[in-house]
Amino acid sequence: MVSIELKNITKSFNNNKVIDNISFSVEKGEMVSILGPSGCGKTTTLKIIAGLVKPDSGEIFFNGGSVLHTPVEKRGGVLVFQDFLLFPHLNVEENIGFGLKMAGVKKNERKKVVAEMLKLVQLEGYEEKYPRELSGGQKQRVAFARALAVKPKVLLLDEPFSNLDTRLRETMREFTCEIQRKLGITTILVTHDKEEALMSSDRIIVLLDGKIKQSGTPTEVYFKPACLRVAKFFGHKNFIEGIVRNGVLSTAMGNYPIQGIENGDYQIMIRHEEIKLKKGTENSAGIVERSWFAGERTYYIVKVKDFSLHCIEKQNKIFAEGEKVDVVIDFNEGVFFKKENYCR
Amino acid sequence: MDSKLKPYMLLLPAIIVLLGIFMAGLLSALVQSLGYFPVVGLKKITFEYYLEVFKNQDFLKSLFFSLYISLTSSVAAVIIGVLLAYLIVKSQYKEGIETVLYKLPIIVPHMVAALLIFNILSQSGILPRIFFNLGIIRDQSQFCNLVFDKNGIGIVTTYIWKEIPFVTMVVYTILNNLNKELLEVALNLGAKKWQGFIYVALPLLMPTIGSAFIIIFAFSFGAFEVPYLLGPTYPKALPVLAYTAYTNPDLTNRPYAMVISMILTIVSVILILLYTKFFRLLNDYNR
Amino acid sequence: MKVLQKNTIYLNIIIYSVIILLIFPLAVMFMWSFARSWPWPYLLPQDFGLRGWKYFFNPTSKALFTLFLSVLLSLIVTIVTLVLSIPAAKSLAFYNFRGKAFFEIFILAPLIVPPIAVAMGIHVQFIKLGLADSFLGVVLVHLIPSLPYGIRILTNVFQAIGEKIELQARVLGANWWQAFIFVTLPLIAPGLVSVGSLIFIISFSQYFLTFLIGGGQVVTFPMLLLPYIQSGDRMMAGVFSSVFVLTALLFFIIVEKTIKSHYSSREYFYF
Repeated sequence: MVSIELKNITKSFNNNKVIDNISFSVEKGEMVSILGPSGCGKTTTLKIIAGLVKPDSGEIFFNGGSVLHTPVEKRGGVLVFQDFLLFPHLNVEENIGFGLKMAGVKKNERKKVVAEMLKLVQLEGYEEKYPRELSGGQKQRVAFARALAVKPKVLLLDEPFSNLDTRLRETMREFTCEIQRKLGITTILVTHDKEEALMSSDRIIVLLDGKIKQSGTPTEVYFKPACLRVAKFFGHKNFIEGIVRNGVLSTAMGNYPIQGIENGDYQIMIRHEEIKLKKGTENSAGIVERSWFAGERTYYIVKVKDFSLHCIEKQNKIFAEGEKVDVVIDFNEGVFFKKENYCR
Repeated sequence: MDSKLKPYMLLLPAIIVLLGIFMAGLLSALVQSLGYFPVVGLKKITFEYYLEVFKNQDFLKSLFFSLYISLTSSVAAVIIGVLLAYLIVKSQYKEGIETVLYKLPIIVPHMVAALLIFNILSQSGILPRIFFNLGIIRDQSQFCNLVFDKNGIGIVTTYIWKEIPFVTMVVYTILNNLNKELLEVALNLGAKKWQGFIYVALPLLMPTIGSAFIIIFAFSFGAFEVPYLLGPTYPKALPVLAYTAYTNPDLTNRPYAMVISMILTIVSVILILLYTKFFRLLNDYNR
Repeated sequence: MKVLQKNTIYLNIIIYSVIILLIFPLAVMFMWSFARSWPWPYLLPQDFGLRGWKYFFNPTSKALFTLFLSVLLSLIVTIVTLVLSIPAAKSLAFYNFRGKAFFEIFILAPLIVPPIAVAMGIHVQFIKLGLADSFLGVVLVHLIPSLPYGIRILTNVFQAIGEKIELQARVLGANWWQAFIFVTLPLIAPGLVSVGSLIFIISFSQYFLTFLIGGGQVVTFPMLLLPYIQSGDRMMAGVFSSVFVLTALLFFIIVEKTIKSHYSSREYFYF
């Protein structure tokens, strides 16, 4: 188990800055997600940690010691790719034992480790099977076992669940988190799926256009996104312009008292679950424009003046499209973004 | 190893061989065609040989003869090949046909192909025998000779025989892997079957057909064996003419052979340019 | 439904007649190799005999020896071509670099530039270097028509297996040669075998290059065959051509049996 630190890492491909001066650290045994849309540089970051890609500048430390010039095979950062990449010409046993064989571990020693790993991923009895005989979930578990067999200093997971179907994805995610916690292995997970990141990590690093926009616990990044783009990436949809003057917020919807926000122009983010709808009267300002029933909850778009607000209500409150509703927004729960935090 | 240099290092051995033999050979031919052949005391760089060759009637006849052979055989092979590929895709029992069409051109070299056609088309070949037995001709001499003839029938037939399977298999593979849904979309949008073929399949096949055409054209234009074995003594195909000039015991004739070589090369370079254009199209479609 | 069936029948008739037209000449050639006498205007030989085949198998004719030498030459050409093609193909498949498009074209160029121009041009240099009339010289010059196929097809093979699987081996602790031996090589092996068979046949079929650079000192099988065709000796030409075709076919079948076929060898064409 090691702690990892990246310092001022920059990498360009063909004069295109894929990673722009990023620095972050991962504690021993921590599970950190790097979250971002495709093309944001997250896979390149993993490859740099593993040693498959050399950064143009910057430093990488494992347990405080630089590994920048340690070759891939000696570095101990083991990648699990999203397409699992089991060696098709080797059976499960040989796949899992591959890394040990490369390291010169004796055959009976390897057998022991392989058995241990198979037990860990609950695939006892699959030694002789070939990758083409395995299901998607089994392949993933073998890939995982193969990575763990070499006792990696850090486990690097590159979108490990995105090739699985929805239900299997959840199972495998739980399974992986459990093993990670049990072994206490330092893990970096790369994903574009915000829910995956939120559910499985101790900490999330949001990477946009090769820059780190925010780093924090799942609740921090969800409830307090550091900038507008991070907020939008997490799927927040309600953004209202407003001006704060001496404790009063003025928006096109009306004026509201506000506490602890200094004077200035803002974009205010309201999470959709923070907007409450109430049965309205003739004079109510809101009109239900669209609704989508989704079982345990219902999604609405409610029109208030020129604003289309996205809301969620529990199933006990059902409104018809066109129905007048009262809209209750507590702006003190909103996230206020100053101009400089729009980060376009 | 510096990662920027790595791809070049990996290419290096193959490139050295290609430069050292292929490019060196072409450059050497170019220099000799310009009259520099110090072995026999020719050291003046001049375009004289080119001018002389271009004024030479024999050369011009050979050039046209070669162009005619390549064009006729390639056009015929492409048309028949494309149609055959289309028919095979539509028919059922494909396995055996595929095997024959795939293996045939690989295991039968051009030299043997020439023999095959000679066996069929010569005055004592199978075709005149069949005609005789059917009573169409009464004597061997009534069958006009189709090999060693001025129209190059034997050469053209050999190339067609050899090239049809090649074109068919290349087109067949693409046609078979062509997204069937595209054709269904076309039909769904109201196209008739033939319209689907003309407006959807054919345009998608064009790059393949184009590059296949250029490959077989270039090959038949520059190949020596078939016209050497089945061609008339006059006019000679260009490669045969070049070789004849090359083997002239008077070594001062060497530049003429090289001029003809260079002309063969220049035509093929033009073809490479066309080929790359098709190649690019091919990549665009596959994206 | 009936109309449809009728169409299918016509379709098959057309297809099979073309196929028969393509195969028929081979049958005629094979028949000639056993013909003792086949005068005009008979459609079948009047008498069969094994004179040609006996001559071929007679050690004094050296035909078998030449065949052996030819196979050896082509095997060497195949191995050298593969050794040169593997790194080059890997480079083209996995890397983006300045001038890549140029290299791709340059490597394909020998497919289109007539070998006769290259061979006649390089002959003088080969004579100077002592490579003319030598086995080594012939091997070198055979590389020219072989390399484009080797590199091009192996590039496709590398693209098909992808770059990441080797990287996976590296992160699991394999150094570059371990990754090559234990992962890349087994994965490209079927591709190597089928490219190899193609290159073997390309080299085995060369006449002009061998004839010019070998200068009659290096005699390969096509050089024995050509005079028989040229002189119109259909029986002997039939024997030698049959041996030629059968050797190539045999090689092909052996190769097909060897490959457990991750890939279909049908993806590659040559004519």
